[in-house]
Amino acid sequence: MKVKNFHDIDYREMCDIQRKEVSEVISGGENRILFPDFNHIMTTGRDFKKTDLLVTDNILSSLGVKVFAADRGGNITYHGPGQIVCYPIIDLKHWKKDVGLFIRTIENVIMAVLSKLGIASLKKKQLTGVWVKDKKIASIGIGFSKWVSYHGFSLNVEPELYYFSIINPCGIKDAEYTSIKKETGKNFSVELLKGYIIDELECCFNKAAALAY
Amino acid sequence: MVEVVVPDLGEDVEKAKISFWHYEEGDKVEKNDDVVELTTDKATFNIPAPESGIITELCVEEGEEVEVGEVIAFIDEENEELELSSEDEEEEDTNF
Repeated sequence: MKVKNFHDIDYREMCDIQRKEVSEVISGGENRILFPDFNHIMTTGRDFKKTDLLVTDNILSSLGVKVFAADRGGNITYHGPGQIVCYPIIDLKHWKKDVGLFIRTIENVIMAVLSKLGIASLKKKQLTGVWVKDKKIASIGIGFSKWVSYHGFSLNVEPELYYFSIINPCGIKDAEYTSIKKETGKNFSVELLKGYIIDELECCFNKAAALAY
Repeated sequence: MVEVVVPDLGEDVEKAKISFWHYEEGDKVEKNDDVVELTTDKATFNIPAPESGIITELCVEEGEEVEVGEVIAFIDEENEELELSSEDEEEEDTNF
């Protein structure tokens, strides 16, 4: 898979880039993984309700947080420094045309990465994402066009968890969030973690894996 | 007349919601252009037009739930051909 990194990129600009990358995969291009780094932003999915944003526009503004509507599923989430955001652009026509299985597989990818760091994580029924006990460590929101995926997931490495407290992340009231740093007390390099993510995505979405389903 | 049908989205997905239509009734659509966006749990899914033509009917309102296999719109591909042939005639006329 091709891998592309985008450092401190504007969200709208990233959406334009993503659309172009998706078009290339729809036209038969190679699957790819995009890693955009965003400054403090909130993104909202199609299930967003205004009541899940717990502060006023003025407070958001004073925090320097911008809110963007995204063409993905799910509710509201936070992106910012100390997080890995990953957009796997995968053609499911060459894998398995199954939206639910794709999301569960993304959860498995994140859990496998966390397992390498010594973190035991879990999935919860009806609550998409990855959890460490009752605390959420990774959020997922996906879109599909012609069975090619876009958007993806965010994994908390060591973000400022305060930003999750001013929203009901993914629409969950009183949700607590955690991070790799908080769970292990260790500093893992982002490049090492991205390497683990790439390995797991390549393993799960190659042609041999498709035949196994 | 061609039907736009909610496809099989996989084992766990029986229902979805219409997020929004990319087109309105009477609009011309090209084959494989995304016609409608559905929302399932944590995912949006765009359904492409099965054929080129004119959208004659959107059967479901935005925000409503739909089931796998349900017909949600109709495209008149003959209308598309008629429109194209009349355009051709116009072009021919200007050549004389």
